[in-house]
Amino acid sequence: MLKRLQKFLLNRSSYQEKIQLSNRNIYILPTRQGLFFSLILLLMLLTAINFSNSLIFLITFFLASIALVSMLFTQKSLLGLSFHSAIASPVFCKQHASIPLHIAIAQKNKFLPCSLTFKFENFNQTIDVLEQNEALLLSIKTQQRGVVIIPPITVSTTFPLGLFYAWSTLKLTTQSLVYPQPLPSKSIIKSNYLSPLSGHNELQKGMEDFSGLDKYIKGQALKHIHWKAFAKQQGLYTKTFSGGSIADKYWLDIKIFDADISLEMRLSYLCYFILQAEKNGDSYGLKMHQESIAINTGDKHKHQCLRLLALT
Amino acid sequence: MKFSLLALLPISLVLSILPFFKEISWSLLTLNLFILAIFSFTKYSLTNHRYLFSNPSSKNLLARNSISKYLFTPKIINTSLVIINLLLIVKVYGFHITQEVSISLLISMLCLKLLEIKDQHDYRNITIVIHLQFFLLSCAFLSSQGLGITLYSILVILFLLLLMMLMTHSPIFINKLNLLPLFKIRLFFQTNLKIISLAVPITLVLFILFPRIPGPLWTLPNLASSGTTGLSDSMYPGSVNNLSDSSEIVFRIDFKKDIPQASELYWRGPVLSQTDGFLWQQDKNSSKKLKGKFSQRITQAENNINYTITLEPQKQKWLFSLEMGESISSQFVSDAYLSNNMQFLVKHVISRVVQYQVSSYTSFIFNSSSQAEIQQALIYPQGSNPKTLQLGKQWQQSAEQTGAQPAAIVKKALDYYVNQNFYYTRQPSIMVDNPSDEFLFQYKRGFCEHFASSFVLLMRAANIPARVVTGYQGMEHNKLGNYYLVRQSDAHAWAEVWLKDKGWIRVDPTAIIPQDHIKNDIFDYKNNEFGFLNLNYSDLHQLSQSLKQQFWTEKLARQFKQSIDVIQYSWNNWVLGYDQNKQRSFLALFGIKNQWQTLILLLTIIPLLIIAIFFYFNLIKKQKNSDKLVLLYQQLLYKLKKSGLKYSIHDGPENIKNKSLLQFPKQKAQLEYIFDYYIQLRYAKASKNYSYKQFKFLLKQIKFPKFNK
Repeated sequence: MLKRLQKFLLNRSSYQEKIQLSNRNIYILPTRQGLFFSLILLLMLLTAINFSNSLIFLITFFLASIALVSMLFTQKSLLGLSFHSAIASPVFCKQHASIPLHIAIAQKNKFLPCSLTFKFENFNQTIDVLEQNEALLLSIKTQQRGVVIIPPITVSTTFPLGLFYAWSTLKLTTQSLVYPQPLPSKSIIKSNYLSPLSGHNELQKGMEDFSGLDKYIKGQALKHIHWKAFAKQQGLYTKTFSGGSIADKYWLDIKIFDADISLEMRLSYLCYFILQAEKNGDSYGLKMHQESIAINTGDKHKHQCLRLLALT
Repeated sequence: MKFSLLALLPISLVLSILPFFKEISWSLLTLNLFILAIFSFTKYSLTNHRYLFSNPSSKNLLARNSISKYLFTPKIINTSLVIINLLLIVKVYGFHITQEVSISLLISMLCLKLLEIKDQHDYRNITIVIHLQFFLLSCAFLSSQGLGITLYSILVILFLLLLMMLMTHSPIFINKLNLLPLFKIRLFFQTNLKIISLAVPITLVLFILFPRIPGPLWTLPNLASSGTTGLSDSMYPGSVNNLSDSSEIVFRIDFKKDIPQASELYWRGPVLSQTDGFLWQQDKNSSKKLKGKFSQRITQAENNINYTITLEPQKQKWLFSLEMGESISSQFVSDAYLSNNMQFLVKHVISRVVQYQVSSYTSFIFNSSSQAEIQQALIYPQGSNPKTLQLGKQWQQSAEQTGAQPAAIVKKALDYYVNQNFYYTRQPSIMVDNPSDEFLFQYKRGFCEHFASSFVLLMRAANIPARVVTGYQGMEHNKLGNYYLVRQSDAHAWAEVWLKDKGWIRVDPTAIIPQDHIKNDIFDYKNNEFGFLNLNYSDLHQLSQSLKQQFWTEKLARQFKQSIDVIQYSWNNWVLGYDQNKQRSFLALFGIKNQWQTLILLLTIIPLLIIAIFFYFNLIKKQKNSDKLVLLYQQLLYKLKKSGLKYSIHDGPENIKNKSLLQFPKQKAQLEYIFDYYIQLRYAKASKNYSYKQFKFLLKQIKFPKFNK
């Protein structure tokens, strides 16, 4: 019953990029302390009526109005806050994504929100005093590739007097990516995917003709750095080789796998290959069903490929 | 200095118990303070971090347990303290359940609850302790309703609200005791003030509009100890004199229309007809209800005066009224009745300020109720004051011989006082054995009780029924507040003599003392008091006034005191005395009839209205970004968006610029210029080359092609 209610409440809003809390979003209910307080007030009212004591009336009304006003202030703690999630560095599947959640106070709010609690699944964090715009790091366990799905976050506070509990459920979209989980596969089909583009039909590993040293440009394979020179404090130099690069150039094609392997598995294998290729310093390209990425090398290229993998 | 909830909690408890220090027995107090001390030392000390652990790796639960180990008070100590407390209460108060006992019980249980608090996250127990303190504070008003205690309570409430805020502020997953620095406390305090400032108007509205249901719903025996000791129900030479030093106000009077004359200003108190020659007391039937109707006892009643009296608690059951009072009504005492001696009484001791309305007749014939009453007033105490007896008998015999009326004897007695050079003084000698004899034949200097008692004895000796009546005489006018007041120093004793066909007649022996026989010490220059206002009123008044005006400082002091008393009176009248009648008359000013429906409607509407107004002005009103530059920038973005540019929320100006350059390559120069302009204007240090106006101008100029879907 309660779960149905919760589900109903969740379905009332849709996922949005930026959420600003207004009186339509915020729900407020008395807490247990609030109910106990009302009981005490009732008791005091009875005492006042019984003894015809005006001062007890005064105090009762004073406390009652304070409770009423604190309801206003509890809501005011949440009002005007706007949330949006920023892009975080992409992670692989099954890892924890740390997505920054930007919290902004919409106006020059003289009333500082205090003890805001953010909750979802296992995550529970409280901000003591929100003086300026802050970024909260959400740690989300990713289960599948693609765009990170942030589960609905409950922002709540009972701030002024703990008599009322105001909360709002944030359903945020984000643009952070989850890459497919890299699964190692015994490199099976290497021979198949050698591309005719490169001049070489065979892998060439081992020493090549050393042709000289170039000044190290950022992005070049670390493998090719002349470490001895660096150790002698002569600077960073890259060894260049004649006779073509040692790096392989090949296409990574989604169709190269056996027919019975599922799409997800294929993506995972491809991911692993990409990582391996990067490690080896190879140049590679990616061919998917509809898109393809030209053969290239480098960090940016890697991310481009992984992104394509994640979003298919 | 850092604060924590657990450290401040016992302090708040001590503050809440403070108003009860007079009522709760000292043994209970020490026990409870001891309990509080245990709490403070075992649970937490203000700045000591000894109990803190920070285990960054451990889970929250583990950390909680490790702290709990130190905060734990063994159950056996708790239960034994409970038992000790209960036994102590029973020992001090006995088994009767009175208000005092209930309050003591509440205080003890609160202190013990404090011990039960496990840690700072034990919300249940902490809530109980804090919220019940509110109730305790309200109970403090049952015994005293002064301005001082109200202000004190408000301060304590502020403190408790602060504690409530601290409670909500300690999140459960911090594994060390939450210490708050001073600035946070200040922040909370400011929030508190904001809350209270909004709450005050709603409080006033509620206070004015909430219907006052008259009468107690149930009763508990009242606290007998509250109130001051004023007039007593017994008199001996010197007892009334003791009150002449006190300038404490007994009651305040608000006359509706007519004001009684000075000679009528006798406020009736207990009637004392039983005596042993020294001590005068009421007889057994004095508190019985009036037999028969008022109109039978009081005939030819004229000169009706209506007034309202606000009486300070005197630890007695009397409601003073002007002689003779016919009817009384009050919302604060439901069981007031007229006694056989024409005194208004209540069944329980009055322990707080009460207000009541009386209708009196100042001109009347007071008939006797029964022969027994008259006989009682003839009894001359055996073996006491023989000379007085002799004198009285002498007068009686001479009157019988000359065939004079008993009234003549009365006049003879009064002449005796005048001719024998009696003096009225506030410092008479102590007369214990045969005080009447010593006063009449030896000292001839006394206070009102000497005159009254000796006069009554003389009358009794002369076979004329007479009795002493005590009460207050005269009143003072507070011009500022336009009301009258009577002080303890106005306490007076006079006599009532029964004459056939004339009933009980008031005779005040002190009234006829010539003014130069009033010793100077009667006049209290500070209070502008004179002992009696009567036949010599105008002379006395003039005399005292002339003496008074010599000291202008006295005049100033008097005015100052009067203005303070006006505050006290208004407080009593409008706040404490706010009953149904007052509510009705106050609301009638606004044309609101005091009907339940109207009141309840108003009660719900007005506070909500106040909240709605606040709501509107602070919350719903569109939140405009006060930064105009950002507004302009947003206009630019809006233009771009309308023309089809897609960008994310987290894109800064640079990103958006790049995206727009891709989208609108034709306007490259313009876009670059305007974005750079904005970035410089907003983020770079102020330079003269960039201005807001220029940016506005640029913005107006730039246009983008229409978006075709």
